[in-house]
Amino acid sequence: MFNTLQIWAFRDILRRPFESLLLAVTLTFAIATVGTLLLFPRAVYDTLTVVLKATPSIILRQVDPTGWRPLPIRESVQAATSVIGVVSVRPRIWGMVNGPDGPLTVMGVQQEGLPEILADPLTRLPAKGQAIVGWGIASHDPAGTLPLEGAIRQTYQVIHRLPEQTSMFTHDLVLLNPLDAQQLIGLPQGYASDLAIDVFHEDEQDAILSDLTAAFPWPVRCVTRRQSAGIYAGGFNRGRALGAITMIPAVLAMCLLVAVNTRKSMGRQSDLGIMKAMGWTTGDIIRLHLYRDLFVCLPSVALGSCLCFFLVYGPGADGLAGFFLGWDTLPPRLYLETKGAVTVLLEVAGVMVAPVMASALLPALKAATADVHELIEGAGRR
Amino acid sequence: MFWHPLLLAIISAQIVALLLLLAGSLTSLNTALHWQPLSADSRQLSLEARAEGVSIQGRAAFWLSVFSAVLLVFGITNIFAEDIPGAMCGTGVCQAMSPRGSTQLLLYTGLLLLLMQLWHEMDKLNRMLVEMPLTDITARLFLVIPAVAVLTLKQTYASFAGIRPHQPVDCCAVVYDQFTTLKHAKSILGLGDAFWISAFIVLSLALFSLSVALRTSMVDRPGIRGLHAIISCLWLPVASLTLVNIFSAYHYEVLHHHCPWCLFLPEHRLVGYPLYGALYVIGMEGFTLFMLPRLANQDITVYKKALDRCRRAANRITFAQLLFLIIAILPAIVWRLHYGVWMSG
Repeated sequence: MFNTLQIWAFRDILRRPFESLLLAVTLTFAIATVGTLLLFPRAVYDTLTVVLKATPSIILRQVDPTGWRPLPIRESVQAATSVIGVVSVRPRIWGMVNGPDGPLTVMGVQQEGLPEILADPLTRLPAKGQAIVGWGIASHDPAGTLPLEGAIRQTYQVIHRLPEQTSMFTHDLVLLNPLDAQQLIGLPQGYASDLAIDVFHEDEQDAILSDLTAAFPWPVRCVTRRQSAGIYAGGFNRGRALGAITMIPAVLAMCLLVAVNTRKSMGRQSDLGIMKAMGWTTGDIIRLHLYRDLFVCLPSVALGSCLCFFLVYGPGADGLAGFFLGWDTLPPRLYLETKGAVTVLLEVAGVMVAPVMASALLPALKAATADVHELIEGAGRR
Repeated sequence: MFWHPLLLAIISAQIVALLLLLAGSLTSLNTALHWQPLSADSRQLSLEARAEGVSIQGRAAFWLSVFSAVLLVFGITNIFAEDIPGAMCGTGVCQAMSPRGSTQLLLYTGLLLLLMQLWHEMDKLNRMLVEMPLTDITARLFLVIPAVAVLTLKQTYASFAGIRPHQPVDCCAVVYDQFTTLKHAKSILGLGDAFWISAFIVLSLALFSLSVALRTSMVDRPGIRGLHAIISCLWLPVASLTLVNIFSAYHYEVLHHHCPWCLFLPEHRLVGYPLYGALYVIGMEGFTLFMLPRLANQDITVYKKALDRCRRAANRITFAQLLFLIIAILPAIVWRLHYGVWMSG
């Protein structure tokens, strides 16, 4: 299973267990820190992507110089369905109102056109005067009522709370009967806040935008699912890059530590000259040294990666969400896609592992290519 | 400037590789100037030990360069498009970089890998013999590499610095604006699809036959190796063009979407990686097969080892070509059997 050089390298580690342990612990924590900085925003982005996959392909709003305004449902649906490529059109009633602890998002829901993402957690729909609230909304009233203030002031009976797993997108959400929602937001009868449009193929989202805009007799603004994902991705990736840049001095310090440690251990190695005199090549000595470093580094990389995965997907997520995103309540369950995990591992390998291994290689190479005579003489002096 | 952690990883790997190359180039310069294999003085002995060190440094730099090139391709094809509005694949990323910047970046990266591959093969041959008869020539070749590595690093930074993350691109427009009429879409460089398919079949058969022939004692004939190099040089662009313009339609299931980068997307089963990987292997091994015996003809023992390596290169080319043909053509054949017609009619 192991060749002689590998066994020799392992025994060499045991000759200086404290130094090797110190290096392993430092490397583990450095990789865990860098990995967490890279993994957490990626995990939030991947979670957003999962959430966005369940959202409509295009959101269309009527706009005027003052901002967006309600859409007449009948004419809008007619105009949108006339565009080739559109497979479904859903008018949505939603808006922002004041709750007891601050602004809340109110949405009118009915069985037809219920968003796919809410279909599973909802066991029943709110009737008139009833509300279903998101995980982040606490009811102060023991009777379970929720006072809301929009165009009118009204108190609703809370009948259900959306599960914690959905809190990424239902944190401040209040689901109401469509008529209640319309009155509270102040929408006229027969009007909706916007249109949720689905297209047959993902790639058609951008292609039909010009046709869609032209189909309406008033100015509209469309946002595609892909654009929303792009907006989040840009922000998260810039944040990740800046986080990684702040770690560069730490990585350099780590490289210096490894280089000094390697140089010291090579310098102290009194049998190096004898090895060369006995016929060991420079390559053999470097291989021995690389095996020794790999035996320390590989478990550290594995442990550091596991630690950062545990921090992001385990109990550490609570603190990280509070620190990075200012979430005070329990964070939602985070997802990770294969592409995201591979990317983070490659980034850690490029930013951390490659410089560390090179910093171990260079001094080892210098010591190993030294003259045999000098090595033996040096050993004699020591 | 475009900020992405994967870009930091690419630049970090390139810098580390460059440092290793620069550290080795001083010794290589000394080796190129003072190498005297018949002498046994202290300088020569010291140079021999240090040349062995340069070989290790060079190999580490080679694998780091391969790693950074893989990261670059992975980033362009699958990751960076997330941050650029309107970009759906590598075409959008390259458009955001400016076409010249992306072309130069890919050319420099390819050239660096080509030189490092040649050096790596020469170095492997050199290490097979105790006398290390190719040390002088490998040292000279090694001195060329840091210059290309510096250019690659500079171009990587310059290309990505040119990206404005808030400026939208339209990669589909780049793909479809290449042609104005349907007739234009059905031709490459003014020649119809039928011509290119015929050229592809003829060249594929020629390359396959020559590669199989070079696995035997025919590898010793410089004429055959030269012919193989010419056929490889012709086959690579023809295969790339037919793949992008003709065979890719059966992967995309859409006609005239002449995009080389969409093949790398997960929705197309990442077939770009094995397809372009096979082209890369054929290009690199073809170059090795042609150049190695020419550079290693000073010593008969090394020359024989070089010929053995050429046989292995011919083997690899054969397998890479088979892999390319299977992945590129199989969907077209399945389509023909299923629907009874070719997509292009």
